[in-house]
Amino acid sequence: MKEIKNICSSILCVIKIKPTYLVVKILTIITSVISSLIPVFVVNEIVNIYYEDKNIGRIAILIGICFIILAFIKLCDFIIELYDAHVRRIFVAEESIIFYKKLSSLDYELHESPIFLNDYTRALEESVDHIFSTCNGTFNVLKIVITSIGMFSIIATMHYSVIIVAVGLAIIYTILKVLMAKVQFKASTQQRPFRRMTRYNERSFTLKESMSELKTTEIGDLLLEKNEIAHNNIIKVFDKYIFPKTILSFICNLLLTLLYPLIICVVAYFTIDNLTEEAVAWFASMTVAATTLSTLITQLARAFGEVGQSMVEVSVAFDLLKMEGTIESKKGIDVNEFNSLDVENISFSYKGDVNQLENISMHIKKGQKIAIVGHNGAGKTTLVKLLLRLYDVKNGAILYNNTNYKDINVNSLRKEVGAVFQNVEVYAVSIAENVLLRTPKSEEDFDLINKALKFSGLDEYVEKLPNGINTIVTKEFDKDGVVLSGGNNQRLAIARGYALNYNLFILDEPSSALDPLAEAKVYNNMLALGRDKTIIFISHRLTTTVNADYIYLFEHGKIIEQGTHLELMKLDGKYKEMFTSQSKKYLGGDYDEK
Amino acid sequence: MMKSKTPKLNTFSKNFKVLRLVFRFCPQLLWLAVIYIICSVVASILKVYLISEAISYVLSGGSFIGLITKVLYILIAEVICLFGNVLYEDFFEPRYRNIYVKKIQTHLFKKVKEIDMLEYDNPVFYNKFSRALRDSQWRGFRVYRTIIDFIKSVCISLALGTYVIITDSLLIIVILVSSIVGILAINEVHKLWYRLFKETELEHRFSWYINRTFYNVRYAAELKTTTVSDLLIDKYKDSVNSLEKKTFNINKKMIPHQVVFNLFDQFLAQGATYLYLGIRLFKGLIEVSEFSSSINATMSFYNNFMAAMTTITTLKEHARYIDDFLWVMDYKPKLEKNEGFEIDEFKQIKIENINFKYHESKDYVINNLSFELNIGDKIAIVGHNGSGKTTLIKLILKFYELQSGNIYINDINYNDVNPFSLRRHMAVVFQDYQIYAVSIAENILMHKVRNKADEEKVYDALDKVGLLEKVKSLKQGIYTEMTREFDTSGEAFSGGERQRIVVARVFATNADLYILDEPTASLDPLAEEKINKLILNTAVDKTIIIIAHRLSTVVDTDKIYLMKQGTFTEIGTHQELLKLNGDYALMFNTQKQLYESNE
Repeated sequence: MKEIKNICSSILCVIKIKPTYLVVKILTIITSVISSLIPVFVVNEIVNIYYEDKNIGRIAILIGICFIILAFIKLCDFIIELYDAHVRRIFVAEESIIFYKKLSSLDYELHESPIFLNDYTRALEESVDHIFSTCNGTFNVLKIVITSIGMFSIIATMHYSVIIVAVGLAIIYTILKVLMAKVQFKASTQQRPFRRMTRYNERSFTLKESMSELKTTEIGDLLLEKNEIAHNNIIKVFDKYIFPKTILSFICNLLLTLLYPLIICVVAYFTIDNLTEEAVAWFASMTVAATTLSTLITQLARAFGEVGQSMVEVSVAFDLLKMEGTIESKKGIDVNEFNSLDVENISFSYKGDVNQLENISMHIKKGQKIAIVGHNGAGKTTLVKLLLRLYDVKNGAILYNNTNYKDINVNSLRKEVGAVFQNVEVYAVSIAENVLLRTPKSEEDFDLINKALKFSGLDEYVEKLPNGINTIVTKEFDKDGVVLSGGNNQRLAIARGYALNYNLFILDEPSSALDPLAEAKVYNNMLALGRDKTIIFISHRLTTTVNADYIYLFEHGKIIEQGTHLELMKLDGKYKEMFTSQSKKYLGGDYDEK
Repeated sequence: MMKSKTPKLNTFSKNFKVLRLVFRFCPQLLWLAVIYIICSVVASILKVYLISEAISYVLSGGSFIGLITKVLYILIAEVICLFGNVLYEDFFEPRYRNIYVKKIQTHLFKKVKEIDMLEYDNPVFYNKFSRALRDSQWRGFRVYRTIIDFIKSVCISLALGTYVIITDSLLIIVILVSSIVGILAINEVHKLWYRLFKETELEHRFSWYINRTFYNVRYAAELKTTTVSDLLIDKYKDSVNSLEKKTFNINKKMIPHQVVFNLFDQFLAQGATYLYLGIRLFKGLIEVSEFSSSINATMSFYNNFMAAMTTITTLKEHARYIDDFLWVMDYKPKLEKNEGFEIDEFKQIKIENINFKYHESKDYVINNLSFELNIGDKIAIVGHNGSGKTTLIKLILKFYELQSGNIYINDINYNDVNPFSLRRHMAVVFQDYQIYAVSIAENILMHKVRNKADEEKVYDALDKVGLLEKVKSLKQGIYTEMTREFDTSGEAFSGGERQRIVVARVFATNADLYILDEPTASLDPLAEEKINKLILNTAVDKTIIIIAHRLSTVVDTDKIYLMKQGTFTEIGTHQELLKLNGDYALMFNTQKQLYESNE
């Protein structure tokens, strides 16, 4: 069964990271058994001594020793609890890192699939915790079960029939529990799409970017309506399955309730006709065992419940661990410094969709400045993802220095080819680290950072900061942290590009958030990158195309015009139309200051 | 003694506040919970009663049949209690948990609208709020459950305690003494846990941050194509190490208190109980049967007592997180209040000598700015990044309070105006707009499609932005979901198409004032030109403010305002500003040069 597999996997995960955990858990089982045996033993001894010589001194010493041991055991339990918490923290940290690395080794398309976004993302955030809870919970259940068996075997020394009764009840109980779990699983599955919607709404209401719109439009009310419907559906599903669940639960609990009086009666039965002093002492301690057993069984029900809850949540995590990427982390040839990029008649579509790109062919040589232009939806961003090999082409091939992309080690490729994306992400680390994307260690590192800042124009801003390049970005973890404006954000992205020192740069809409003067400066800086850098500009700002070595005009996933600016203007086609409509405001007509 | 009592009172009052909230949303739970507690108390008393009856029956030489009969009566009573318990635990409680989650989520979502914009600029607030929103779903009910368990354990302990007193009143002193010492010792441990919690807050938040970043699709591409994932993992390891060091130091301090607790609880209290009862047995003051019964009763008492202590620990844990939750619930906004003058229509906005800076910063973003906007004006605001353009818009929307100066709408001071009524007259396209996982029509209307007129509005708006053909070609037309979030047949539009949908929102409203912050940034030149023309040519009586970098956007407006360091330095038509040969002219010519380079 899947659940048992999950439990075993969880336990293995934990033990792999902290083997001593297993030893400690075995220790807790032993201490649990001992601490439950002690009261039984003490009562037995007290009654025996009562029948012997009623020596108070003897029982005083006995009680003293036993309860000191008990106190010591409870202290050990507390320390073990602290240790458990420590193992949990360490496990969560190290296992999370394993997951992060696994995620990095999987293909990018996973992240864009709705299944991943909906089912996995939120679940993964909590799943590592659940793995530990499953493991710990299972050992907890084991501890209670073994202690119960211990208690039980003492009782069973009276007569074996007790065992038969108990085993019988246990089997019926387990079967019922399994049935209950199946019902619960059905209900959860049906509720899942509605829970997804409530989680989405939660995201919408907590996203900082949504706030302005929530305050100025009625979208909030619309989302609230949808949320209410989703919740009502969750309750409807609950009502559908409640009857079988309650009945099963009642029978289960009935069995547990019956166990206690049943044992008492059986024990009583064998004592009632045989009231020797030994039997009385035994009976007295038996009742103690029975009471302990009853408490344990109540705990057992709860312990099962806790494992049950976390057990379900770990499936997602283990599914992820089993996945394999076809692009990331596959072996391949390492590449040398960039010389040429040949896109040979490629086509591409996202899963089963219409072709985003069709029959695209491009040839880029070292040192060239290429422009790719076209309206949105024309396929430019898709092309970028293919050039970065986040996806593989469906037909045709991309060749780097005459080697097929598919044969190349993706990590070595990405050291040569890199992009500055439309959306720039900053991390809650220092400006220096945000530029370098690793911790600067050497003189060369710091040199590079400073050059990058100068190149991007961000140096003016950084010089004014009291902590300079060590200032932390975002105020999340540092009150003196800085929040970068839109323009500075993009300058940072450019600095990053410089620092990462790609030989083939892909600049995706680098200047959309900059004012004209800043845009001009950035553009000039780009040109000044030097002869050895090859650049692909992707834009619909035709300012970037005017001085490009070669221009490709995209429309609906195809290249419709290509050439230099002058050639395309002579062509008198789409390109000319676009360029004229943008530039006429500046260059021609009534708007010129002449 | 006083010191240790105050923090505990705090814990209880906080938890009870949440409890009152749960009862507010699910009033039936109150009497259901009472019945549940009564059933549980009766059930546990019956258990102890059963054993003492069995013991005395057996040891006084009764018949087995007689025993069975007695047991049967008790059993029937237990089964009735069980029925009550199962009904509560498996039917009522989970059902009400779902209802509570629904109601609390709705309540919190409604509250979101009331939170001042000011708070969102503070990431500490923001994270506190997001966590509270997520927490709220299960914590409220868990608090309820913990309190019910606590009351249950206390009631059972009291009941059993009474049972014990009835049989032997001296025993109660032993119990009381050990209980008090136990509580005091445990309290010290709790205080240390709280201290640890406070000291490690930053490390915990950082761990959550790293977790969020890795699982968020936003960062996925960058995480794969650069070394930033290794950087983040290194930082994560540092944070974890720091956490372990701090935890270890405080855990060390806990152990002596725990030793005291265990010594009193196990050794002195329980050991003393056994010794006391043993001595009474030996002295012939009680029979073996009474001895057995008392032992069992005291054992049950101590078990429940420990359970009650554990729930106090859990309550303390809850209390740590409840603060944020209660803070959100009790939050009272300064600006976002549904009170003040209602606005019937937009006629004029007057801004007089306003100054504004964001809460945490030292520099003023808006410096002594004055401005008048009348109905029908079509103006543009241009300027460098950080010059204050978007901030001005936020002030016009009454998102923030001014440090000095006044804004008037139709001669009514903004301070006296109802912000919600004010905003209804404005249609805004923000730079960081959102597309929602609802239908195209709903993304444009920003509310449900209520009638044919609404549908017409949507078609009209789509036509104006040039997306009518594409939308009509979709199977579900304007009812197609706009992302693939819930519907795999939903349509994922490109960046430019999304921007057009957002501009379409403006056309679909009845607002008098349009405010557009970079409305065409993601659009190609042809689409941009079309939309710019459209925006400026729609209904003469609409008032429009456009913010743009793309100076081609603004040349056709009536008046251009150049913003520099928080104030307007150049005002005029495009021609006038070019003649001025100032900053505007510089910006314009710089852009112009980029198109001229090759000619």
